[in-house]
Amino acid sequence: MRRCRSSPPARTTSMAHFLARRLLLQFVVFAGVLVLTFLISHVVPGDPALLRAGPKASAETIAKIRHDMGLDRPLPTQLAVYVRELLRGDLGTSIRTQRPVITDIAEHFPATFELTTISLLVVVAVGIPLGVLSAVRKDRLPDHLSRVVAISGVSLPVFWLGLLLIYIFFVRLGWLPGTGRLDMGVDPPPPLTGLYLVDSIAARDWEALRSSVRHLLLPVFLLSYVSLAPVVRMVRSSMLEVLGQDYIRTARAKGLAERLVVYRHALRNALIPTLTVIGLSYGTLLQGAVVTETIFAWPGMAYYAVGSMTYLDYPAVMGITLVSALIYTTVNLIVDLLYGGVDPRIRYD
Amino acid sequence: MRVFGWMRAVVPVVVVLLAAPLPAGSAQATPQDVLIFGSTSDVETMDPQVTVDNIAWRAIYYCYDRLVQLKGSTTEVAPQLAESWTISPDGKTFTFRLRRGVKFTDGTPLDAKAVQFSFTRLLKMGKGAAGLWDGILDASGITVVNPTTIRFTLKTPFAPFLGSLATDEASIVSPGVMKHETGGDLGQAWLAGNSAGSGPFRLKEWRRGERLVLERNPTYWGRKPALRQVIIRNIPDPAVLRDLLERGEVDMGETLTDDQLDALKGKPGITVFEAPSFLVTYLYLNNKNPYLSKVKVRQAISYAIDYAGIIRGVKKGRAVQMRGPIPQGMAGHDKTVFQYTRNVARARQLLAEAGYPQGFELSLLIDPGIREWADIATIVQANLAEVGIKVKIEGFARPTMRAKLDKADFDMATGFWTPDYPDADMFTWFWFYSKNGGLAGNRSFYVNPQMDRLVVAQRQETDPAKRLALFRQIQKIAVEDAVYVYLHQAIYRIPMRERVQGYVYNPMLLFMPNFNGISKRP
Repeated sequence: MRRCRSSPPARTTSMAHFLARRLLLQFVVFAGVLVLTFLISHVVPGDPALLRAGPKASAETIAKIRHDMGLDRPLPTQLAVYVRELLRGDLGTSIRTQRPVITDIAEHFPATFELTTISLLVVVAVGIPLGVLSAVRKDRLPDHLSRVVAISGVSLPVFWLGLLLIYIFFVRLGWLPGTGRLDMGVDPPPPLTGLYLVDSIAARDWEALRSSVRHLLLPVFLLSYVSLAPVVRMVRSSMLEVLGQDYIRTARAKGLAERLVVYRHALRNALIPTLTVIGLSYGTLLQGAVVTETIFAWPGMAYYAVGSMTYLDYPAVMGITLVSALIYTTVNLIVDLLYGGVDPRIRYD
Repeated sequence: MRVFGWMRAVVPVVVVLLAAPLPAGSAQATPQDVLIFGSTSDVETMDPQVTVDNIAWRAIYYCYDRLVQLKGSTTEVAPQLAESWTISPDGKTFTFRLRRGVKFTDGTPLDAKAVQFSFTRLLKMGKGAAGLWDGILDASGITVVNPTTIRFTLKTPFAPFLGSLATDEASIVSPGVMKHETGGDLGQAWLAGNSAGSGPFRLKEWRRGERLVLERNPTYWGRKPALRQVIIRNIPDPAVLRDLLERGEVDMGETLTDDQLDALKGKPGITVFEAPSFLVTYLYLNNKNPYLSKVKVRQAISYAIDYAGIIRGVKKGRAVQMRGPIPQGMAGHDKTVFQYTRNVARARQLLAEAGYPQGFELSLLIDPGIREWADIATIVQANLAEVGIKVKIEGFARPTMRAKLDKADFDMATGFWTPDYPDADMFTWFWFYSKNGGLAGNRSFYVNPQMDRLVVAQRQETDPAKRLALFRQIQKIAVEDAVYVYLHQAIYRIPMRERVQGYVYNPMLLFMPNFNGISKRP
């Protein structure tokens, strides 16, 4: 796929080097996240044993539960135990649900993945053309409009916008569902991937598909709208820079169609910084998912995270944070690897 | 501009999707034998021997049977898995004869051995759910006499024992869970997401945060429920839940605020059920605080509070003022015990007698997430300011608030209490026994040896008349000593579609509608 300019073996080694370096870095980031999250979650005042024990527990019951959860041990020991279990691939047992955290996450992850991935696609599909449009029509109406769209997306509070959407489209107009992934009376498709779009197509359950598409519209709109700005602005500014380059003038001078100039010559070169921004915006999406999932009762990871936090469910909070860090760093690693595809001049050495 | 040509094709499709509402009625066409219940909170775990959360109990309760059950809407105990029982004269030995031929949904026979297994599992795990029998029952006290007879020998006489066997915590769990044991967890990880009972329903499917489906147990030994399925939908936003109820997409649901229930009332097709509950709201007065350790100060506070104003302003009239610690409707409640009403002059006089004519400052701990508490706090603040007590309201999230309560790190605090078993013991032994200081129940950290003797004696008394007399004494002291500020007893309200029939409210089963008796009109 990538055009090779250097000899293949050298290319492979440098690529391997790059990957090794990045993975090492990822490990360092990961360890940092682990220690920080562990410390922060454990110094928050409050005692999960009290919550688990219930409102009327005796001191003995609470002490026993605290001991069972290992909370009576010194913090460093708790951390060491956690790391040891983590290395065995065990994220611990959730205090709230009493199930392995990994099982809980696996169950909630597809909903978040569906929501954020579709939102990311929308961000890319809308953000790039919008950015191109504002660059090409700089300081004219389309540019101003796209600026308004982008800026309003970042500046309006997510929860407010979400509630407004529910109010307008669900409560007032009754066009779209307010919460959840499916309508009240619709049975979910048999679980395959956990992505309802995929599962309902696989099961040829068109009612579930229709219902899940309709349920996706508002949260996806909200999530992509609030994450749109960085992409639009980045495409616009890099396009403007590229459009002022000599080779663009040359392309135009030789009579190339404007569409080809913009898309083949300018956009391709403007995409590199945009790719970085898209990678980073996956972080924004995951963040935005917390509020979006809460408002729309979207049973994803963020929804699980919020529930776990209010319950001081340490193992769950740790697990979610680590998995999110993993997703985020992996997405950015992929982005780095994509640079080479977009710009053959980039080498991994 | 040509570049955006593709958008011209996509936009209309999106618009059509956006604009097309579901064909009218399709969302409402839930079958007559399926009940859709909207819940603003999700279930945490399905293991009855772990959880102490009413919301989880709602899903769990009808998946299991217990030795005894509550009769209809009363707090009286009736046979369920046990056909009959005998109690020894010393009130320590309970012998139950079990119904024959009952099987768990996993096919395991429900006999005395299974009952023994179930209680042993509960006590061995020692989770919050086992707390009811702390110091009363241990595994050695459970004996299998023969396959249909089981005997419980208590460590100490415990009058409310029979009633405690009707609670969710006393659900009989199948020994079959041991097939799913991992790492010595007694099947906890598995049972957290499954059911293993013998009740009228069983757990069919649970998509966390989304919906939980109970289906009729085809092999149920008793009367089969009219509902084929109960779908408990997770709808965290009460405003959305209210809307879905109005549209008929949800048959029943909770928890809505009083404002929303008022708005729902009178809407076509909706009924809002109302009845007094045992959910009480009261203030803890930390006796470890030098001011609050004085009886006169506590009495002064009890006189300063505007009870009627709180009920009117905060509860919109949907509550009754408590008279002493035991709520009305609970056996043992004394209708004649003194009830504080607002009397500012008397409060000032008592403060002066206590040596604080100039007043002092106290903090009031609340969880601001509970709207009712925040509203009460501002009224209490204003009321006490009038008698010279300056109140600083301290808001903490629930986990922190609970930790502070347990460590006596507060002056005054707001609180709720609901009884776990149908007995006044829940409002006396828990609240006043000095060894229960903290979350266990004595949240005022009240210490009175005479009261200790009384609350222990009532637990051990097997003669109902003598027990009543003990409760009368306890209530008298509890009010005279103004151990807590007894605010009000809430009226429970639940909205449902008119087509929902056969709902029976039992104040002991708060948030747990009788799914086994409910049906839907066409």
